[in-house]
Amino acid sequence: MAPERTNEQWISDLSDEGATRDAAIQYLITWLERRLFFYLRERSDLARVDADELHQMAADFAQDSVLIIIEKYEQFAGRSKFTTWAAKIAVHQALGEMRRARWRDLSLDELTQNGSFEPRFLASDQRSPETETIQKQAVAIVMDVMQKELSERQRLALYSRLVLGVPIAILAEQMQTNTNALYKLIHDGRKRLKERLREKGISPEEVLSIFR
Amino acid sequence: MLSHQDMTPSSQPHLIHKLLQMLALTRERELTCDEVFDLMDYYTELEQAGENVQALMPQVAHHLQICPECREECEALLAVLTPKSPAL
Repeated sequence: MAPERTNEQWISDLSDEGATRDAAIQYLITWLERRLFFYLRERSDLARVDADELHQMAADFAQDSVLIIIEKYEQFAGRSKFTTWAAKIAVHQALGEMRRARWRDLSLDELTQNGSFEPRFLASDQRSPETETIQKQAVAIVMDVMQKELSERQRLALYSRLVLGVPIAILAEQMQTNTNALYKLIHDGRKRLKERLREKGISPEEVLSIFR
Repeated sequence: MLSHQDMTPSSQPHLIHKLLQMLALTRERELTCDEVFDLMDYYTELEQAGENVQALMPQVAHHLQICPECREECEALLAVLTPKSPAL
């Protein structure tokens, strides 16, 4: 491996049109592939995947990432090392691909097949009469606010994230929006729920402290 | 494909706890995933250097508490930058 380039050298080399650019790209592919391989090897959910397949996954992720890096390197703000920025893109690409594979059969249409989505998923715990009363109160308010004040999309988004654990990028694709807009939609919903609980004299922090 | 029955809301007491935790963490102003992604390389380098990222970049640290995917990516980036293999 060649000595590490400075950020300026990376930008300069990638801007070149000849062998310098090719060498920089090849270095990046090899570096990312190796780093991703060792990361994938440590993941418990990939423990049963053999080394050859992990090498192939790492190679594919590195190739795909470098295409994005080549496209975006002029946007590099220089806050970190260039290789850290490149690794960030590679990690995002790799984990995004793995999440897409894991959730490829998700169908939100089935969730709303009856025409509306009912947030009946919040059930009361049966710990003790004291906690049960407060919890039931909190659950009742949350369900009431969800039903009356949140939109169908907000309820569906909250449910999908909280109950099903659907990754935000996957959910955004399913809901035909982007992650930024979806985050804001859910954030607005959370803020409204919190406000209404506060108006009724219920603080989420206090209710949680009773559970502990 | 997940069936409708799999997703039918049922008695899941831990969910109210989970939702209350999310509400307790909810702030008026929060960074989105895209904003956190922009800062993640800088944040991770600070963390790698042993800096107090909670104090230096509290909004990013807060988002990582709320968002499991960004948290996973941040942890993965840290692992990629500090691999266990001595050959790297």
